[in-house]
This record gives sequence, C-alpha cells and structure tokens, in this order.
Amino acid sequence: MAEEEAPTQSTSRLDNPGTLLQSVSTSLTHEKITILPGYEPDYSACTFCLWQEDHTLGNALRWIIMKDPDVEFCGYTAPHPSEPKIHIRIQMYDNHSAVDCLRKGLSNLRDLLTTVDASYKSSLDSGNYIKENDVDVRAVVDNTLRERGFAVEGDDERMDTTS
Amino acid sequence: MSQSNIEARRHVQVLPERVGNVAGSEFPGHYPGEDHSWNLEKFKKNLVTSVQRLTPSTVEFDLVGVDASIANALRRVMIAEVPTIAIEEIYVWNNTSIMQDEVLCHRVGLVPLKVDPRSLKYRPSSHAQPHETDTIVFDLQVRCDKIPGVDPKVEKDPKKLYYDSNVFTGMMKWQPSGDQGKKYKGKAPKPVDEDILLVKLRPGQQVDLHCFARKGVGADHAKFSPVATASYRILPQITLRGPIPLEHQEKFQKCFPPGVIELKKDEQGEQQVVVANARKDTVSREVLRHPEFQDLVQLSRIRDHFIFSVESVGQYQPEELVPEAIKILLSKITAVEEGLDKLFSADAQVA
Amino acid sequence: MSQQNRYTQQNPNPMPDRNIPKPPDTIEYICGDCGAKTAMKPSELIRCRECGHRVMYKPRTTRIVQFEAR
Repeated sequence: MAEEEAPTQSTSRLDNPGTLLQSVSTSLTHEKITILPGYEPDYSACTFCLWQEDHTLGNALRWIIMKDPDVEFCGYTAPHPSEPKIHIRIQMYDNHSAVDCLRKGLSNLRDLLTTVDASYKSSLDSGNYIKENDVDVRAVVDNTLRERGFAVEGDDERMDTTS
Repeated sequence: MSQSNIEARRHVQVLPERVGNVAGSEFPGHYPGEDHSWNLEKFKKNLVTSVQRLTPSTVEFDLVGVDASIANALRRVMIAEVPTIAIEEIYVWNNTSIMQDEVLCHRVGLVPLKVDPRSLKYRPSSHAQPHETDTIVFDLQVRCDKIPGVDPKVEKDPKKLYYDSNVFTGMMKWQPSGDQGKKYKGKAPKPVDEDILLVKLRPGQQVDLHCFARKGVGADHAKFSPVATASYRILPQITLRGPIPLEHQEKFQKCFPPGVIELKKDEQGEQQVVVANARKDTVSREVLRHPEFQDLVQLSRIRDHFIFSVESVGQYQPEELVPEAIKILLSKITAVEEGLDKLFSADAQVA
Repeated sequence: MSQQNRYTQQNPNPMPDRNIPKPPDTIEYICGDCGAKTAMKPSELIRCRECGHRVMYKPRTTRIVQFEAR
C-alpha cells in the first residue's frame, strides 16, 4: 500500500495544530497526574495536575468530589488554553486524605456513568418511543420551489440547477 | 423545610431581564439537617433516561436527575472525543480543475466516511508510516470529456454534453490493502453520502487523487466529529399563578408556540387556560412583556431535566453515540486512576 | 609504498561523468486562447502556432504533490 509511494514533496508540518499538540506531548512526556508543590504533607490539601484533560472531566470530577461530606473545598481550573491540562484543588476536613477522596470521586463517577449507560440502554431496548424516518429535505425544498413557481430539477428536461 | 421550597430548588428562574437560581446548591453542608452526599442508590432511584424519538440519523432523549456537569461532559465527549475515520493526507497526481489543490483537498477531507471507527487503530504518531491496521485508502480518478455526437449548439445541459462534468463523493473508490479486503467483506468503506458535489469539470480537465484516511477525534479537527449536532436544552416549565381573564386568554395562548397552551372548559363550564405541553415552549418570554400577565405566570426550567438531541453524521448509528461517549469517559477515569497508582508507586520507591 | 604515493590517487577506475541535467531544448506551453500545445525554445517569440495568441500557460507539474486535508 502506501509505503511504496514515498511523498516526493513533504509539506511543512509546523503549522498543523494537531502535530503541534503531538510534538508538545512527545518531546516532553508528562505523567498523567502529578501533585503540584505546596501540598500539605499529610495530603489533606492538594492541587492535582491532570494532563490531556479539560472541562469535560474537570467539571464532572469537581461536582462528584463536592458531593463528599469530608471535602472542605474543591475547584478546578484550566490554567491556559494552549496547555492541555487542568488543575484540581481538593481541601479536606479533619486531615482526611485528598488522594483517597480523589480515588473515591473517580470510582463514584464510574458508578454514575455505568448507571446512566444501563438506564439509557434499557430505555432504548424498551422500544417505547417514536420511530420515524428523517425529513426528506430535498423533497421539502422541491415542494417549496414548486409552490413559489420556481423550476425544480427533474421536473423540466431543460432545467439543471446543479450544473 | 417545606416540600414546595425543596421543589423550588429544582427550578431555574426565567425572569424578564435575567435568569436566576442557575447553579445547583445540593451539596453536603449547604442545607442544615439534609444529607446531600453522593449516594448511588438514591441516584439510581431518581435517574430517568427515556428515549423520545429515534430516526435513522437522530436520537432525542430525556436525561433526568443528573447534574449539568455530567450532561455537559456527555455532550462534549460526543462532539470532540468520539473518534471517526476521515481523510487526512492526499497525494495529488493531477488536478486540472479550476479548484486549487489545497481547496479541493480540504473539501475531500471533510467527506464523512462510512467505516466503523472501532475497526481501525489510531496511527501511532502523525509521522508514522501508514499501515493497513490504521489507514484506509481511497482513489478519486475522474476525467471530463465531450460526449461524441452531441451538438453544443443545440444542447446546453452540461450533463448531456459531457461525461463526468460533476465529481461526486460516490466516485471515490476504496483501495483495500493487505487483509482489509477480508476484514471489510460486505461492508466496504465508502462515503456516507454519495451525492456530495466535490468539484465541477469541463472537457479535458481531470482530477486524480490518492487519499489516506485515518482515525481521529473532533478535538483535533471538526471533520472527525461524529455528530452534526449534540445539544441539550433544559425542560421549560410554565406555572399559572392565577386564572387568566377570559378576554385575555387568546392573547395569552398566542404568547407561546402552538401546542403549549390550550383553552379548556372546566367543571363549571368556564373556559380556562391550561398548560398542555411546556416541552414545546421555546422560552421566548413573550408573555412577560405584557403587564396584564406579569403576576399571573411564572416561567422556569427544571435544572436537572435535560432534553438531549443528537444527530449523527453517519459513521455511527445515532443511538450508539451515547454509549460510545460513556465508554470514553470511563476510559478517562481509568487513565487517571492508573496515573495515581503510578504516582504513588513511584513515591513509595523514593521513600 | 613511498611517502609520495600515499598522497596521490591510486584508483585506476575512471570517475563517472558529471551528470548535469541538460535543460530540454523546447518546453511545451498551452495557448491561453485556443488551448493548443506549442513547444517553444527559450529564445523564441512567445506566440501560439495555431492562432497567434501571445498569452501562454505552463502545464501543471507531472510530479505528485502531497496535501493535508485540513
């Protein structure tokens, strides 16, 4: 297949944002998660740095961690839009471990999502919903054109709207 | 705490000039004497997922009982992180059409391809050589010529004058390599729609492209997004606080889209305004512009009732998109957990 | 082996000829008016042999060109 045909001209890849992202992540290999400096030695207050994550996981995780009664504070931020990372800060009451809390939050979020998945699938399997065909947009447009006295492709031999 | 107050917490207020009570507040410690800590059993009991409508391209479903952060995560993953296959590199052997190479290639790249994204791997890096496990190859070779024996003085229709004056996506030919012929038996890769016009040709012009498709995500380029739109709105609610006077009833009804408000006779035989289907309301707030209705109606939205509408581009069946999005979210969770394991095993070694 | 020989060339085989690609005598152009192909020398008057039109176009490269479909 493609291996035989080496490109005779290689275009510059520097202006490709996808490769830029890739080059950032390949030249510097980041750990998925680190704890930023300044955490409490007993981990009762930590800021975690998550690489290759954004608001998708950040906000959901923040919400589920805030549901933990041992949490004094939880917040997240995406420090800069060109860095694919987020910071999550967790502060605990009574010197509980923020790391354990994060693990619990992740596992709770997994339970939540599996529940939603199962519930969605059972609703889909029940078949108790409207099943219909898509609107035939072309037919609707053609009808409107006819109503307004315009020529429609296919109606008239001489008419061609696409060429 | 009275029941009505607890119910009011679920409502986002829709006021004439602003929205109120937007953020949920049901967190532990917020309301004295109430337990709002995470409880899976309670969540399961309150969760309602109900598919409303399914067409070959669209699924509409209600998701009730989750926070906006969860609903939004689902929406974001469907748009930006559920992978599909799209053409990424093109070798232009020839293009004498009036469309510039880069413009034509851009157009070809946007064509949605009917290939099961689960059947292909990601390319290890953007510099890696294409391999049959991560690349699908298409050829587009079209040449326009005069049809012999047609008089251009009489016939003006380019379709009857020339062969292939329009290049459509249906003219793209899949080139199987290695074991792909066996792997895709009966489901040969092809464009989702065969009637997308790519470029127009005139006699003597030709297009000869060799296209490499790979797996990618919408976060990288919108051509990889499997949804035309994935969105949710929050269920509107219309509360009548008093009877609408007979002379204003029709005007009241006209403040809403058709089907939202109905006029019905009550037991006493008097015509009354009834909210028939608040779901159809667009929340235009027209009713709040009229002083005569100001104290008689309250508009709001149910904070945890999401009405999702997901339209697939065609790579996935529409109903598959939500489970795929959940799979990807779960894999994100696993990735963070594995990162934590690694972080603390490294810590233990240092100590 | 003497000192001098060490620094002179020993290999009896001749060097290959320097391969300087010669520019082709004539280059083909396409007439901007009638579309006919005309081969022209660099010194020649730029003019179509068929119709006399004096705007000529270079044909498209025969090499393949790679593009990113973005």
